[in-house]
Amino acid sequence: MGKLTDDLTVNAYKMAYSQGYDHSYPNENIVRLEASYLRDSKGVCLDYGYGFGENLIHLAKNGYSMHGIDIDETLIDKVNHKISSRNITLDFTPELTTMDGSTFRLPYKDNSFDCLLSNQTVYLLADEGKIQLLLEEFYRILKPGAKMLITMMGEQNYNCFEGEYLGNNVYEYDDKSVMNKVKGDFTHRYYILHSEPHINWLFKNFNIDEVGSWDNIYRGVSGHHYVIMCHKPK
Amino acid sequence: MTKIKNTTNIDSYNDLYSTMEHDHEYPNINLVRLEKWHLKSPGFVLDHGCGYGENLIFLTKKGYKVHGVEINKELIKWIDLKCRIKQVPSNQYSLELAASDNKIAQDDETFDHVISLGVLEMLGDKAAATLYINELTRVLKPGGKMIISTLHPENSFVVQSKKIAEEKFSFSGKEMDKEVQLQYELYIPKDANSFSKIFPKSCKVDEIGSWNNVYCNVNGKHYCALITKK
Repeated sequence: MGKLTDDLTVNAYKMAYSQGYDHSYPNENIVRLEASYLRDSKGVCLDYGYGFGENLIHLAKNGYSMHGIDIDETLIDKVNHKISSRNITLDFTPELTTMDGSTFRLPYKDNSFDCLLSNQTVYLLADEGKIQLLLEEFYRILKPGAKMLITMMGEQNYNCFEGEYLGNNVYEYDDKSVMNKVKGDFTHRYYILHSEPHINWLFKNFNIDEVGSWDNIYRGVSGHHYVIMCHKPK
Repeated sequence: MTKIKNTTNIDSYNDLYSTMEHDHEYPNINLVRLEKWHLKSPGFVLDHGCGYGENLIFLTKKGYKVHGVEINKELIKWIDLKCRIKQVPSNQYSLELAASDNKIAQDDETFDHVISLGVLEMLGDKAAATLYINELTRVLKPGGKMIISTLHPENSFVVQSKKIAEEKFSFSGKEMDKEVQLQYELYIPKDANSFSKIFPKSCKVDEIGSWNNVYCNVNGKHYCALITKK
């Protein structure tokens, strides 16, 4: 049974975080998608791979009871510090957890969440079998009818042009583009969605509401991502 | 005479700004990137059409001094209030109500950088857009950077509009989640090449890039011109 992390990528991101890798604002696509898609299933929400915490804080401010899970213990203090230093008062204090590097189950009970967000994270589990296992875990911890918003890199993302193809939709890349200021070896792996049929197949256990996308094409970078809006069948 | 203020469009914006219910909370993510990747050095910036002021506030946090221009008096007051609440030092920003019909108020070569996001289409036609770009270029210092974004022909706003002439569209209706009835005349370049040609010879067009979001019945595609003044 595969574990739900990739050691190479976990170490690359831990190094990046230790260098102060951070964002100051939520992803504007997540801001829009919260308002247009998630809002009517507002409730207990998991941000899988909360990272800089900006999306999690945005949702928390909008009344979601946020839970977050990520791979680096230092992120917890960082996010809590952001909340306190900005004088944000929340009805529900976000519950942040660090993933055990050997786990193959998420530390949540069945049918726990009203919705789930995972922005630019699932593809870092660079293995199709592990991603299927993770999606089974998402299915397990969501309540029937709960909504899921997942964003993953698509085939027009510059990471596909620049990275080395390892086979089975997995690429490896030590990103040295304008996008990335991390010093040292930032080699990490990711799994690319190459089409909508690919998405329909991967998310076959969920009811897909819409597959959208975003992109930004300038300064030698293209940020193509798919946006998967789906829900667990009732 | 060609003007850089389009009265029909301004009436619609005044309706839109009659309340601040469409206020934004965060800056444009593309500007956040392009500040690092194109502007690169803090200086005196003209934010022409600064909207709800979040981009202006973001740039002040990055060490820029910003002059914001808008067409609605209530909006100017609103941005000023936000700047004070967010503790932007008063010597780091200034605000101005766009007054003149065919000129930008400042002297030649006043600004280190110029940004204009989502304004160009509202000039209504190519002649006015060209005049506007010439004015923005005039107030920019040599070596200064400029970022201009405008609607792409695939943007749902354009798709819902009626083409009334070459690169000229008319929009009548409601915009996405907004309840206000709007009437716009739009300048829409037919492609990136045509867009790059409205810049004067003193401008080096570094790139015509784009950004896009396609979901929930909206296509938000924009061109963004990245310019360096020679």
